[in-house]
Amino acid sequence: MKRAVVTGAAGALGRAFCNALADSGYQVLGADNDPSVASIRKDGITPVCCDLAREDQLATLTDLTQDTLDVLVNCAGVYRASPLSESWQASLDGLQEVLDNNLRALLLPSRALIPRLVANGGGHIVNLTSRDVLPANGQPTNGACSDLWLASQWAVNGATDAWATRLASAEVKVNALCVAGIKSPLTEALPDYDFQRPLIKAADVATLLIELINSDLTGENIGYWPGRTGHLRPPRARHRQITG
Amino acid sequence: MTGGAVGIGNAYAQALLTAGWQVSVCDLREAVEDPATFNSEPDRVLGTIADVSDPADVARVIDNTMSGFGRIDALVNNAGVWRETNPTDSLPKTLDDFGAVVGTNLYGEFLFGRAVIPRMIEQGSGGDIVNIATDHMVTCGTPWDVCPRGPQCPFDRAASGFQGPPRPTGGGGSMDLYDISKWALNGLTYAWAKALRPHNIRVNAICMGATDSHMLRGFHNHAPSPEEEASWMKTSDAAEMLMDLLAEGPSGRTGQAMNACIGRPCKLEPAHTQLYVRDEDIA
Repeated sequence: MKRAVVTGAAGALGRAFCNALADSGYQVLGADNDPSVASIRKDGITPVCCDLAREDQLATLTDLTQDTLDVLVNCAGVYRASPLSESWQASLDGLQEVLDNNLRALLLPSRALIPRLVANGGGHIVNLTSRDVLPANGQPTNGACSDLWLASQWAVNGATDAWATRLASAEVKVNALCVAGIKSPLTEALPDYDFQRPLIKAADVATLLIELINSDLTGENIGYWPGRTGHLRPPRARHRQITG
Repeated sequence: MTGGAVGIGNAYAQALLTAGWQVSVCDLREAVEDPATFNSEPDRVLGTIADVSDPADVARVIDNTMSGFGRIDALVNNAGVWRETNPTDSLPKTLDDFGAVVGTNLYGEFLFGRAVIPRMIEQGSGGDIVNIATDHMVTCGTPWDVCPRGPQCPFDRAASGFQGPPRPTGGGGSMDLYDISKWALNGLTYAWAKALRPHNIRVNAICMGATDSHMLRGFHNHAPSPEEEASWMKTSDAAEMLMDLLAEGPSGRTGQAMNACIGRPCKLEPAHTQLYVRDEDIA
C-alpha cells in the first residue's frame, strides 16, 4: 500500500487532501499542531498532533512514518495580518509567527521525510502556496495581504524549484500547487481578507492533487483559481534545466 | 545600504557617494567603519558594524543614520550570504544554515524595511526601497499558458530564439535555503510596493546573476577559472543599474523585479507590464 504524509491536515485543504488520498488507496498520516486534527476519522487516515515548526516535536511524526514514503504534501502554514503601520515589536512578533513558523513547518518535515522518499526509489512532493505568486494577468490578487505571509508563500516556490532540480535523479517529483483562497472558516475570519475575491473549493484542489501525483511533472507551478480549469495541462517545453 | 564593505554593495555605496548622496553603510566586517573602504571623505559616509538578522543591530543602524543624516531617502537591502544546502541535509546542519542564510537574506531585509518604512512615511517625501535578490527567482516558474510575456520571454528558447545555454536553476539545486530566502523577497517587494504607493515610496527588486563579487569569488574558493571570471557581470555595471533606477524618481516604476544575468546586458531593462501586481493595485 502506498503511503502519504499531509501537513496542515486540520485545515480545510489538508482534510480534503487526506480524504482524497485515502480514497485513492493511500495510507495517510495527517499532521497538524491543531488538536482538532484528531477529529479526522476515516479508514486509511491516521491523525497526528505535533508542531512541525519545532524540531523537538518532529519525532512524533517521523516515528509513525514507515521507512519509505510515496507522497509528501506540505500544506501547513498560518496567516496573520501584518500592516506596515504596526509597531516595531509587532513586526518582530509577526516575523516569528508567520515567516519563521511557515518556513520551518515547510522545511523541517521535508528534511525529515525526503530521505524516505529517496529510499522509496522516488515519489512526489507537493508544496501548497498562493496564486499570488503567479502573474496577476488581470486576475484579482489579494491586494491587502500581509507582507510576511506573501514572503512565506514565495519561499515555497524557491524550495520547489531547488528541490525539483536536486531530487530529479532520485525520481522524486516536486511541484507547487498555487491556489486562490479556499472557502473555509479560516478565510472568512481574516480581518483584511478581500471578500470580493472569489474562492475555490478544497475538494477541487484535492482532485488536482491526485492528478498531479499520477503525473510525471516536476518543477512546475500549477495554478488554480476561479474560472481556471481544475485539471492538469500539458507541460511546456522546458526552458530550464532540471538535472540531478 | 546593507552589506557594503565588499562586493556589489561596496560598488553601490561608492556610486551613491559619487552621485552626491550621504550613505550609511552597515556590514559585519570592521572595514565598514573606515571611510577609505568607500574612497570617501569621512563626513559623507557613516559605517556601522552590524548583523542585519539581529533586530537590535538593525534598530541601532537606523538610529545612527537618523542622528547622522536626519533623514532616509533610500534603502538598499543588499546584505546577503550563501551556503551550500541540500534537501537531504541533516536537521542540525539545516537549522544552522537556516539561521545564517534565511536570517541574513530574508529576515534582515524584512527588519530593515520595517525599520525604515515608518520614517519614510513620516518624512512625507516618498523614497526608494531596493531589494537585491538573485536571478534564480526570475528564471520563471510561470504556468506557460498564462505567461504574459509569450514570445518575448527571454528564457523561452523555442519562442525567442534565445541561444544561450539552458538556464540552470537554484544553484544546481544545492542552494535551497538561499533560494527560499531570495524568492521570499518577491513577497516583500510586491506587498510593500502596493501598500506604499500612496506614500510615493517605490519598491523594486534587482535580481542579479553571477557578478564578480566577494560572494561569488567565495563560491569558487577565490580561484575561478579565467573563463568563469570573464563571463561574470561587473559590479560597476550593477551599480549603474541601481543609479538608473533611483534616477527615475517618484514617477518611475514600482513593484517590479529587474533581471540581470549572464547572457543578457547588465543594465536596467525598460519598465515592463506588471506581472505580479495589477496596475490598479499600485496606481
